[in-house]
Amino acid sequence: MLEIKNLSKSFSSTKVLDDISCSIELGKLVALTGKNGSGKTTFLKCISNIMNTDNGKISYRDSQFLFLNDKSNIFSDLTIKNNLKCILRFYNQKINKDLYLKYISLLGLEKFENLPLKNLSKGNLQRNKLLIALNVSWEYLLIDEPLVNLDHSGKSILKEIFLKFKSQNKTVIFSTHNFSYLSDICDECFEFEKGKLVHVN
Amino acid sequence: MLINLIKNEFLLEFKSSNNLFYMTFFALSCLMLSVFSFPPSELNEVTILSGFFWIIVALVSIKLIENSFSREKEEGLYDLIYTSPFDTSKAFIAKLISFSLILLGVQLFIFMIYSMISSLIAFSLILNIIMLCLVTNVGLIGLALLIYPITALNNSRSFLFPLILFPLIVPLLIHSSNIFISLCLNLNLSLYTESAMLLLTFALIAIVLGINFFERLIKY
Repeated sequence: MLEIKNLSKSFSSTKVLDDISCSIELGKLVALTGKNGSGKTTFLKCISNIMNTDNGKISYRDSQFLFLNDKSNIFSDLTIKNNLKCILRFYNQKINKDLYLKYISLLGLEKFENLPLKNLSKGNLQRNKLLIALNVSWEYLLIDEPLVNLDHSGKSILKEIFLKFKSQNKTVIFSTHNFSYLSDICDECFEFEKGKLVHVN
Repeated sequence: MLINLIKNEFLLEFKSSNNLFYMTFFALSCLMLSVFSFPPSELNEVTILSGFFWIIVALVSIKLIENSFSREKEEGLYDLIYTSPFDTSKAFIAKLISFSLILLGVQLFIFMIYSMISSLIAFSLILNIIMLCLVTNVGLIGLALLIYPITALNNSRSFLFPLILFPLIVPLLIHSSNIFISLCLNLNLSLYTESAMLLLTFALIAIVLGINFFERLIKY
């Protein structure tokens, strides 16, 4: 279980996260919602431990995180496969060819396999992020705006994938401005407003 | 794990479309420009190789480090990499080893080309030169790897990074240059023990600081 107590973070004099306390159980699908600048991405960065916090405690026991932020998460000169290989090396894992082939066709990326990632469209780069999430082994997936740039079929694939993660007892925490689309599969929704956690559904 | 990280650094450097080739070309053309700007004499050759060469190497190493971090940051891989479960000090060591070796490759290529137009670098010196380059590269790259993350959050990082780094590496450049002169002119190397010790100290300090503080520096 991920437990966060009294988490605060400021940039200069602007308080971005203000005394946030919550807990997230393993195997849950958690959505972070709120207006622009309400602190969703900073919250994700703080719990992934890449950003220093001013105050507060985050407890997790040797959990394996995968943090996919709002950018493309690629080495732009590499192909889809080489990019994945590189990322897996950071996790000390190797590519599972069968799984890779299965997921690349599920995501409709097989015809772009030999192109450098810099030539892919934004929607396909978003699909590539899902390919990374499907191939890397993790316990907590933190993903920033997963619905952005996805077409209708991409969104339904994403929904399917999130349900698969849930059935595998993996935790997904994602920020979104389009909560209504995923509301039926989410276990919890944390609503942020001006750095405060104002509502937990 | 460390081998995997080193493999990654090499792969990314060689696949990167705007890096290694341009750096080598830049280093070589700078050196050639300096060579042809001076009237031919052994003294000038030594001055060029000892002085300009190490300055060029310092510039190349700055570019190498900047490209490596900006490659990670540009497309948002920085967060993914540094939240993965590996020990961050290993990332430092991997970068240090791979970039020192890449820089050594660039240096050897320059020497090879230079030896075609000059008799200053005898083939018998090559092992000593490799040792000198490696020790200097470790100190140089290690310090650059530590300074870059400190300046990374600032908007004027492309200016701040060399501004902070250069005064720190000046002793390194001067002493490697001294040893280089003594090697080329067949002087008594024992006179330069102090310089060699200083280079080793720089390399060790960079390694120890990197292992202990790199994790704190890359967090923002």
